Order: sequence, then structure tokens, then C-alpha cells
Amino acid sequence: MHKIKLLTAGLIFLLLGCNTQKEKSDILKISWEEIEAKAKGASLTMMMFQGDRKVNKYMNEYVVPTVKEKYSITLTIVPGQGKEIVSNIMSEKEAGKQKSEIDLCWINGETFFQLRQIDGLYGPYTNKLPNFKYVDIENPIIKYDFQQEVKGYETPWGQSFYYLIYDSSKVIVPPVTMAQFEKWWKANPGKFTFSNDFSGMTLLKSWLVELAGGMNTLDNAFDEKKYNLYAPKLWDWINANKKYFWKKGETFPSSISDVSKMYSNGELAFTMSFNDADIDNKVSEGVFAATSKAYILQSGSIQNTHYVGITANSGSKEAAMVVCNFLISPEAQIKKNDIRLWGSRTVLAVDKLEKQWQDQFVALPKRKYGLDPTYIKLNAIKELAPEYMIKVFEDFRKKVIEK
Amino acid sequence: MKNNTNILSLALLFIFAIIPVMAGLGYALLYSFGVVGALNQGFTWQYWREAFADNSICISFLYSTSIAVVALLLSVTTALLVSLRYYQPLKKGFYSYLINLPLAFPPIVAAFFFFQFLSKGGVVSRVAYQTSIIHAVHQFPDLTNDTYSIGIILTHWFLSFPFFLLLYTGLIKTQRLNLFFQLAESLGASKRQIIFRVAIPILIQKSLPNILLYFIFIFGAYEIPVLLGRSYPESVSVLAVRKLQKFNMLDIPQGYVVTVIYTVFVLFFILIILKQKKLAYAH
Repeated sequence: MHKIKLLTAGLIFLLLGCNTQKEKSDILKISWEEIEAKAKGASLTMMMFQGDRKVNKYMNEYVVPTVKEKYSITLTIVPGQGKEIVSNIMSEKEAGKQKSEIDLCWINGETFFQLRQIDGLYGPYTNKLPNFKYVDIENPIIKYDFQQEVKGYETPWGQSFYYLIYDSSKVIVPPVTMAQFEKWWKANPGKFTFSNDFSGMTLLKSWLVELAGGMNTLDNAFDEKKYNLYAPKLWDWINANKKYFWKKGETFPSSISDVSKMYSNGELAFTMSFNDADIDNKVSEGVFAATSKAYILQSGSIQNTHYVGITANSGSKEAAMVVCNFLISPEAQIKKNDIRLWGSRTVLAVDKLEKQWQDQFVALPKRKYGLDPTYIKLNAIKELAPEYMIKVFEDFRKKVIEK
Repeated sequence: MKNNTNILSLALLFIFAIIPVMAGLGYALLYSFGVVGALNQGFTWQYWREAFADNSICISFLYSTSIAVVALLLSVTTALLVSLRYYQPLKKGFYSYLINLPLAFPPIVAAFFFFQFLSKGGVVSRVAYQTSIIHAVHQFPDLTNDTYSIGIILTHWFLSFPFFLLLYTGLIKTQRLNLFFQLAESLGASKRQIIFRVAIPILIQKSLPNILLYFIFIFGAYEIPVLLGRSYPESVSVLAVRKLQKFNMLDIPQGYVVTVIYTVFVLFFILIILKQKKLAYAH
């Protein structure tokens, strides 16, 4: 009896699996015009970070009305990032829900890694998108998401790089190496900290790269031997110096927004950002002092790409693909790149575009405080494999916070 | 008729309280033993062993308990003192509005308010700087994310003090305690004896179930310790959420271990409260 039950369950799973495979190949076999026709009138939900006024403005005042007008797709934006997206999709899978409440999600790195672990993403589909030919896919920062090849499971949407911000009226020469940081901390106790989140961990990873010998030394898959060789040196160094940190390093702010708040009120001398336009936006809003400056470490700047994924159980995959295609269209990318709207660097290879689009990219207002893109490109460190982030997070808690 | 009402209330209790709690607890138990969950692979003790491999769970339980005890001690003591001294003027007018106001604050708003108020870059610090009490931001004492959890305790006090004050002024009125006080006084009791031998024992006994319920509320609070607390030690809720939502998805079952222990702890407390309630009513 038990065997029969198992066999039946197995058959059901097999049938469900076949069904998904069939659906996947069906969508990919039909023409783009048919996909667009099927997408008409669909309603989609996109889960994404909504903690930035400019990002919300871009989505609510440009993307949502444009996809409605052009493709009759009703796009609803709901708040949620990384862990919320994963736990939502995971809970739906665990509950056996066939149609997900989320169709699209803004993801990258560890979220992509986690969603791939639980087969939460639909794909590969990006080659089907007509605008994908414009994407600079041979750029390793775009082709690999935290060293994992994207393989058509997410649509590149924008590029980010990690940089530090300091107030030039208080910091004359900002530290760029670990030795310089140590010297600065000792001379200015209590004026530096980093957050116990993605941003703070990226700074730790940057120092790990420096300890490992600099740019590209920790490329490729996670190398436990290398990690075990360099990470203890990093924890020793942090523990030896944390007494010079904010609150003597006995606690760390839980998010980067807390660090930025303390930077803006003068409690800290540095903050960090992954958002290219952050410094320009914050200075123009009067949040950061006009004497703020952006800079990167001598070992380089960790860079990554953010993507849009379609959930494996989305009920409107055609419409989701149409929205993805729109998001990488030259017009949507120009608006996204515009510092007055969002200010995120494009994923398109601008030289592949028609002249009119190239001209529009060139005509965009320049960043006043942000760093030069060529300089950034030359100093790019590819995001490390997600396991580095997991290990750094765990060890930072065990070996620094709880020590 | 009475029987029908009893059955209906019992059914409602089962549908809306007992079944969801038991279903949640059952799911958390199964998850913590690896029986359910997208990445789990069958029954294992591994997650329980891992959860207790270091003492973070014990420290979190101790930490949450001490926060709840200190905050309640402060609230109950101040509420008792104020209610016994000023209960007449508090009943109406400006003071009654003032007391009711904090009750309308959601914990997250109160936490944010105290953060803006007490942090080194906050309102108090700025006033101190402007009035030359301090000469630099770093001279202002650590009152948020601090070693002694002062910010957390003050915020809990701010939220719970009005509750206990209203409870005690109400009790003094409804239980006609002033008559007891007068009686004690006519029998020759001093003011001190009236307060410590009559008023406080009666009020504490009558409010014990509420104190214990508030203990659970503070013990399980999330927003206040997450905003005003330190990275370590963490309160139980902060620890559970961190384990449930961190990057390493293989740690999620450990988060469920924490929630199972927390639920059992709370259920145990509720049993004590029910017992206390019976006693309170018996008196």
C-alpha cells in the first residue's frame, strides 16, 4: 500500500514536471508577436526594493504607465527585496502553490543563488527578448552574477559599483589601503563603522581581496582554502582595531541607511554606497554635505549587476517577458541612467545602439559627485562567489560581534 | 441556550486561536526536524544540535528575560507611585490625555521616536550641544544601541507605564481601595504602612495576570530591540528572524528551532497566567 502511494506521488510529480517543461518550450517556440499578443491585458506583480524615492518615481511614474499604454499590461509594484522574495517564493513552493503571487522580482547575487537553489526562477528565456541583443552580455560584470553564469535566467537591468563617501572638509586624505585605514582610525576614534548588512559585508570582502593580493585574486568559484587562509587575518585585524570604531566596535549598525544617517549628521566621517547616483542625489537633496566626495579603495571596486527574474510559477510568463524586454529597451535604459530619474548605469552596449539612442545617452546630464565610469571600469572587482558572502556574514558574527 | 453559546465560543476559540497556533507550532517542529521545507531531506536532529552548538539561544532568552523584567519593574514601580499619589487629578483633563497618548503609539513608531530623541545625533544631544553642555557629539552618552540597553528599556517603559497607570488608577477606583486606606488609617496605620502593607500588595495581586501578559509582550518584542539594540546579544525575536531570513538558507530550520522553543516558553507562561487569573478572581 505504501509503495502504491509513493508510486502515485512520484507519477504526479513527474506529470507536473512534464507540464512545466511543456509550458517552457511552448512559450519559447512561439514568435515574439504572439508573446506580445498573449501578454495583452495581463496583470503582473513585481516585488522590488522600494526604499528609494527616485527608484519608486521611475517605476511608478514611468515604467508602470508605459507598459500599460504600450502593452495593456497592469503592473503592480510591491515592496520586498532579497530575503523577502526568497521566503515568499519558498513558502509558495512548500505550500504546493501552483501560481505564484509574484511574477517579476528585482534580484542579484545571493538572491539569484538562493532562487536557483530552490528552482524558483523561470528560464532560460533572455535570448527570446528582442532587446537582449543590445545588452553588453560579454561584459563579465553582466554575464556573471556573483561569479555564477546567468544562463538566461535573469534579465540584466542595471550596473552598480561599491564606493565610499567621505566629507572632504573633515577628512583630508581618505584611506585607501588597510594600513591607511588603521592609521586613520587610530587618529580619529569613533568616527568609522560599517553596517552589518550587504553593504558592510562588501567592505569586508574588499579587504579580503586586498589581503589575498588584490583584484581578481578571489575570482571564480568559492575557494575554501583561500578563504581559510585570508579570513582569519581579516578578523584579527578587525578585532585589533574595532576599539577605534563607532561605539568601540561593540555593536554595528544594522543597515547602511543607519550609517548614512550618522554620516549626514556628522557622527561618522564615512559612509558607503552601491548606488551610483546616491552621492549626487543626497547632496542635491541637502542630506549630505556639499563637501562630500566619492572614492574607491586601492584594491578596486566590487561591481555587480542587478537583474529582473521571472518566477518559475508566474501565471503570466509572456507578460513578464514583455516587461523584461521593455526594461532593457534603449528608451527605458536612458531614463534609468538619467541622474534626474534614477541614475543607474546601463547594461546596454551603447555602441551597439542606433545613432539616435547613442546621442541620447551622450546628452544625459553628467554626474557632479559620482566617479568617472572609465576609471570605475578599470578598477572593477567582479563580485565574489555567493559563498564568500555567506561565510563572511557568519564569521563576522561569530568572530567579531560575539567575541 | 447557554450550552449553545458555550459550544459556539469554544468553536471560535478552536478556529481562531488553538488550531492556528497548534498548526504553526506543528509546522515549525516538522521544519526544525527537517521533515518539511524546500531544502530539507528528511528527519534529522542536526538542526537542533547546531542550534545549541553555541550558546546564542540561551543568551538571547536570558537577554530578553532581563529586558522584560527590568522594563516591567520600572513601569510597575513608577505606575504604582504615581497612581497612589496623583490618581485624583489624572482622571480627567489634560493629564488624562497625556497618559493616554503613548498607548496610541505602535512599538515601531515609539522605537524610532526614541532613536531620534536619544541617539548621539538626536534631539537631546543637539540641545546639549547648543546649550554647551557637551562640546562634541561623541561626548553625549550612549543611550541607543548601548551596552545596558537603556534605549530599549526606556521605550518599553514609555509604552507600558501609561497602561499600568490607567490599570492602577482604575483598580483603586473600582475596588474602592481608598476605603481600605481610610480603614487602615483609622486603625492606626502610618502612611508608609498603608502604601507598603495595604495598597501595593492588593494592587500587585490584582494586576499580576496583566504583568505576566506584558512580560510576554516585551519578551517577544521585535521592532524595539532591532532598532535600538546592539548586534549582540540579540533578543529572541531578532535572533529567530535573523536565522529565518539570512543568506544561508540551510540555517532556516535553526530559525524554526528558536520559534519552537519560544512558543513552548510562551505557552508555559500563559498556563501560569491562567492559574494566576483564577487566584486573582478567587480573592
